[in-house]
Amino acid sequence: MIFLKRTLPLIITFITGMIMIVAFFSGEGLPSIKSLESTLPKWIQIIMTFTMVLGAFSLLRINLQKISRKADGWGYSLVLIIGFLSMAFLGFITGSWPMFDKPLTNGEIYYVLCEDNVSARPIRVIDNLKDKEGKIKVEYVDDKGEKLADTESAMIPPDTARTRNMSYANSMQQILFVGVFKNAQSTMFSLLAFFVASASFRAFRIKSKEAGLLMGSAFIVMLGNVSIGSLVSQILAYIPVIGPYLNIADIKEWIMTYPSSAAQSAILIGAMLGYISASMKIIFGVERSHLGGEG
Amino acid sequence: MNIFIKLKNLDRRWVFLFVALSVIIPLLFPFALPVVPTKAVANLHKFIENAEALPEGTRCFLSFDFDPASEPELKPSAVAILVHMFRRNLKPICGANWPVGGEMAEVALVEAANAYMSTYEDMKAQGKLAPGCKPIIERGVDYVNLGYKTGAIIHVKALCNDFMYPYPQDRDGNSTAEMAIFRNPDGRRFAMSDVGLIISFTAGTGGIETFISMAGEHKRPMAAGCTSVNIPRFTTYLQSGQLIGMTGGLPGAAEYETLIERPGKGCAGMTPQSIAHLVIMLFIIFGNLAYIAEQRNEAKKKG
Repeated sequence: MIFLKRTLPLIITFITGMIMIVAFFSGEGLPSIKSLESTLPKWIQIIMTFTMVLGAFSLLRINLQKISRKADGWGYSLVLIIGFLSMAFLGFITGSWPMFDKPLTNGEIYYVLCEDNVSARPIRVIDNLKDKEGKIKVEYVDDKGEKLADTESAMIPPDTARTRNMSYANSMQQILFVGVFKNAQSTMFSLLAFFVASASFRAFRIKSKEAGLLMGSAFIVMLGNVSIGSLVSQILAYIPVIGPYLNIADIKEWIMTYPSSAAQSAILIGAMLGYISASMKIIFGVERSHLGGEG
Repeated sequence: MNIFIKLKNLDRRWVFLFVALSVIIPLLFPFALPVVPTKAVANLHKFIENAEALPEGTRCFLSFDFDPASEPELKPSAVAILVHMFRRNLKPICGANWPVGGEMAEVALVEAANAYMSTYEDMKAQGKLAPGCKPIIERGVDYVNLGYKTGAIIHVKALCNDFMYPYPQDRDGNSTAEMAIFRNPDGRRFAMSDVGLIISFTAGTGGIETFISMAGEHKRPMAAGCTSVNIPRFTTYLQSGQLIGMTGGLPGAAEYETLIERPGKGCAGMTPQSIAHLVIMLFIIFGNLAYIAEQRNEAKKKG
């Protein structure tokens, strides 16, 4: 078992890691190795897709355990499970509906999604034979199936036409996504503005020269980043001699391009060196925590 | 001085209220503030405008690497850039490294396509459209939304060799092999090297940095649209020349909208954001005045 759990993964990691390194530096000199460089990413994409499925099952298992044990905050887990299952169910149904649906029939009424991605409008199939572009001929009708007077027949891809039930499922999924998920995420992110304001009011103190420098730079960047900075610059321009040089946007650009960028470059270079070092440790089997936290 | 010391203990709900009002009031009673494009935004606009760098019909890859949390910051710049591309008769190919990026791309594409088609006649009369522009643009011919694929850097690496393998279908399930937008005159399979410009709208990891990491393979010019918090990080890539331009946060979007003369949500958001910045700055100043007053009081007591 120790061979399967530790030795084999270490061998696979070493071999694939070395192949990728050799392939990257070999150029066209080693065509067979170079070809692996384009093959391995396809394998990785397939494996990563499976890891998403694994992650979904893991998420379900952990939260179901929390609910069964009535652990603290189990109600949140319940909401998560309900949300997860309903979105997954509606997503699978709407995404794979052609597998379950019958072929489009001439004269039957179907529904196509409107541009708001939520509501659907009825259509009647006039000719279900595909043209050169793979489209079918339809006409727009009202809810009673009467042709709309001010519309002409249109050519649409057949997979955009859905039955009434599928159209409801699709609308429901979009309502949950646009109406709940999108808005909830935007709200959570927007709350940051309030906490940033409160935290900076309480904690941003000039206790040293460095803190003063930081605050000065922060003010210039905050002003230079928004339109009101231009107005402030216009006012500052009235100051004799130095006024014309006090352009907030220009000073902000200088701060961002030189001092800030220099610090960011140093951080990035340091992080990348650490990344290379960590990768080498994993390839050579020095770092083994990914095999189960045994170090 | 006492008033400042009292201010120090101000209930944080007052801070929340002032921040909320600083956003709500300018939204209810809008007024325009001047928007001056920065060099990074102007460079990106200039590159897309340049017919030598991007001749008509050039396909550009736009990666939507964000989720609804960053949509208010990134969507306006995505829409502005898409509208500009349609006016230049460039063909945007949209993809995503974030799971809901495909949805973000869809919303932006629909808005930009509608904006382009509804203003086609006016823009044509003003001579602001490329000669080959059509009044109606079609999915699969003039633009496409490929949606999300797993892998991030590995996905980008796969795209460098062949678009059709990771994306056999677009987001709506249409076969990409049959789409006119992916057809090469010499019959080669479409790859990243056929793209004129790569733009990633990045909210965090897995965005433009994945394309920069693969620059040695695709060798295509790159630009970014990023959230304000990422501007310092990505300015480094501008300085090193790895990015030709960048739209940073909502101000970047407003600047791009100004350059293409189509004010949108970016310009509309500038006034509330300006006032909110001022309010936060005022709170920091008051907080520090309170701190100084407290220090003086303590010094007096000791003295």
